[in-house]
Amino acid sequence: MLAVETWKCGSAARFPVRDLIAALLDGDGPAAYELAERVLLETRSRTAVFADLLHPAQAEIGNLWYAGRVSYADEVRAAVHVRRIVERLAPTPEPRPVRRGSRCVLAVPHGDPHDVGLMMLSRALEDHGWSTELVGPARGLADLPEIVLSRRPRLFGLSAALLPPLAQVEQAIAAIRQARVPVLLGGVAFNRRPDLWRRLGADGLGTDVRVGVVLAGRLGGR
Amino acid sequence: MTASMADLTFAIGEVAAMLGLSPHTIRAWERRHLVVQPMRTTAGQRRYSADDIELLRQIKHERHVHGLSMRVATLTAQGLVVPDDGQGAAGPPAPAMDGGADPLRLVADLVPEVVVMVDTQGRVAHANTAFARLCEVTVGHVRGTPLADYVDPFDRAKAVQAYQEPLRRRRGWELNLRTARRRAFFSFDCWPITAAEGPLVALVGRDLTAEAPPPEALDGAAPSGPGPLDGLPGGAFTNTLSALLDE
Repeated sequence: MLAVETWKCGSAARFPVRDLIAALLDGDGPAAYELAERVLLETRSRTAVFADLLHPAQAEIGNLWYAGRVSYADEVRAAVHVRRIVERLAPTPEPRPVRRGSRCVLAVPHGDPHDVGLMMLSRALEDHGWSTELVGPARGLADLPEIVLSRRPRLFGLSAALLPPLAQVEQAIAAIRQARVPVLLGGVAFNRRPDLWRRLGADGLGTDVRVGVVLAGRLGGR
Repeated sequence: MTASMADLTFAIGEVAAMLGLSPHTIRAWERRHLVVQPMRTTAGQRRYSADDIELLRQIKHERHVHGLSMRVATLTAQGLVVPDDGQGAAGPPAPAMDGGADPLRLVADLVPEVVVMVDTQGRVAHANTAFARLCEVTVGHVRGTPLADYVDPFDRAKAVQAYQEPLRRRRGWELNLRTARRRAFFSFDCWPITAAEGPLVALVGRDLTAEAPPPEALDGAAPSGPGPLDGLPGGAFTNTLSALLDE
């Protein structure tokens, strides 16, 4: 088990990210869920749990994996527990939702099994009044414009952890934007290259769930 | 067409909503720590760019997750300080700098090539992070294990020759490595070296399968997306090592 420092001060004390990392790497699902529920009770916002607790913990575990300090199995086990937490947390509808009928289509590229981030965004958007539809990873990038345009959403979101073929992404974005549907990118693959979204012609980069929700409202929800 | 985020600027209320901070906190960070300098409208209202927001988000991450002081969190988020525990950087962390750690060892952890050193019995004495990641274990778990565990059964005889008879001066071997998810074809340069623990063979390998992997082969191959070394020229480390050893 990796030793994770647990000292905390100031705002770090409010969100027990390090405690969650320790619980996730220990495989202690109940403890991890308890921490998430505690933050949910305190903040009364599922979006806050996603953005301030689960996402930072997963990002840190990803960094530990990059540095060779935790194994692939540790990382996958942690992701499984995070997924369970995301699925179990109760909705927390926001008092000022977006206007009725705001629909969003979300997708991960074909061959990318990492969809927990997209699940979080989907649930956070639903808390803010959006209706969301997830397009599974079985769909190819070339199919996305047709699927998206048939749904006529106010926003399309694409999340990737493994960098997809960029020429295909660029073509899909151009086709979707041509139909006046704004495109929001997110996920590790795009977050690690902060300017990539601009080069691909997207409308914005949702670096975490909370940023994604505000951008979605700005780009397509109001 | 809706204006893109690249053209948009955001009011402090929107930025506060994006970051989960109060406008008061954001103003205080600006005033006391000069973290961002937002544009102003003619009426004097702050307007934040996408880059301003990302910097503020990273500062918040450093403070919340690592408990850093505002000053250190700001420097870290700007990439001006690399935390020495290897966990604080906003992007992929630098390798841990333990007391007295060999700087060359740290560099070996940064290159995309796999570097593995085996003793004459075929046990792994050292491996870099790229090798551990490929085999989906930690660096600590690789040490002491047989190299044969990571080589395709068809290529094990070749691997034995590589470490048992390095003085035959055959410097190049092509081996199929076995990982949990896929078979990877590597071109290894082999170098006999004398280390404190005895004679070792350094194997520096370039992934020849990585040029055009079929999408199916990537399914679940990397848990967190592309590595921190994407875009580095392949073979840079091998060439450098060759030059050093030839001198």
